[in-house]
Amino acid sequence: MRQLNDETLEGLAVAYLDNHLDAEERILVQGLKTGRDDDGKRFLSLVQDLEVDFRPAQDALEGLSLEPPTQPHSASLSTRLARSPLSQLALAAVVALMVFGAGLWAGRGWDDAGMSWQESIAAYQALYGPNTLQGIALSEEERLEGLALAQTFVRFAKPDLTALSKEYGLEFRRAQILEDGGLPIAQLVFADQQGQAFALCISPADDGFDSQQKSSFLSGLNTRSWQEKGLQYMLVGKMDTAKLVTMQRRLFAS
Amino acid sequence: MTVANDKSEWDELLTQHYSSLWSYAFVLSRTHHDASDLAQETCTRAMTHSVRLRDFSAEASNPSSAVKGWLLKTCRNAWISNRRSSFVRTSTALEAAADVESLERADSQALSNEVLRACLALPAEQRDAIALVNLLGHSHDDAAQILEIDKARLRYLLVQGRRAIAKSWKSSQ
Repeated sequence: MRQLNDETLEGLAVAYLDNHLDAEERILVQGLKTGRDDDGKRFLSLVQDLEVDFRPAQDALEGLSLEPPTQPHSASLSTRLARSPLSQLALAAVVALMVFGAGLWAGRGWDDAGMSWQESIAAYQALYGPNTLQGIALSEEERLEGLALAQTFVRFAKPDLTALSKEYGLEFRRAQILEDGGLPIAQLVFADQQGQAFALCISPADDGFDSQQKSSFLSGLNTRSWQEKGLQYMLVGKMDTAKLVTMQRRLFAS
Repeated sequence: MTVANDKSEWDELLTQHYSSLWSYAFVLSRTHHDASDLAQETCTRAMTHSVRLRDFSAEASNPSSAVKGWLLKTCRNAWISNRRSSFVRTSTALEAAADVESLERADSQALSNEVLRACLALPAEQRDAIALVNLLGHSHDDAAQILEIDKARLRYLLVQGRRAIAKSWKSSQ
């Protein structure tokens, strides 16, 4: 005789297979397993149908995981991890955040107002080394595609990105969206002829007011930041401040 | 143990949960690169809300489990948020026009395992439930809490997911 509906029996079967039966369900399942009625047969049939051995999948998944850094130090990452450069970079970024986070947590006290976006970006940017950048190898077609993509990211700002390659010898490497305090930041990364990283970052401004232009030295990098027409900008790299100022003028000449 | 009071505790916490976080991010996003970005974004959020997270864990009966649940839930929210927004979506030049729903983008190493391949091919909701319970070992109660659904709905998703995986596995034999 049928007493349990399909939904209940399926729920019991999956809970049984996953070993997550509560006390009441355990008693019910015990009865179903030993009973000879229709419900018992349906239950056993369901268990058979739904049985899957997940262990090999768990092992395969575990094999894919990146190991977390125990000694956060970006310089050693490229040699310690035999992973793709992009993965290394992502992990390096995690490490950087951990270093900053732990430091602030332990010492100065981290809160939602923590680092400015300029400080966060500079800390992230400081992790790019020639090795990580070199690994992001693009064909000419992909490079052009990337530039086009970057242009869509910054369509409101309309910087003249071609000037960076033509006049400053910078090669486009990647474009991505980062997030800081809930605000998206478009980050366009370039490499100079020595493989050093340079980035142009654009983010919606916290308020609508234009601000004074500012040059800073953050995380070992020179930065140039300003706010204009609802967007905030930052140039960051190893080149000197005067060059960043010139680049700013050239990029946004129009 | 509360969340972390100093750097060594934070390192320990990260070591303890990073693998699960990354695995979950991989099952959701189905690519190495996006998984790393998602895990990174989750860590960023954890740092941004560290005080709140520390307080939250201090109140929990099992702080480590509570923190892990918080990280996975945050990861999931970040994934959903990234998928919904065309702007706040991590992307690279190499993946310019790619849609995350394409199984072809999944890692080839993962695809060598038939069951994991079938898991990755599931619709997002079923994949999410299977990932938490069957790949990461969460209880039905914990998984339902992370997914913010009731246990009956979770079990329905698990049944559908298992059924599809079993069918795929059997047809490949």
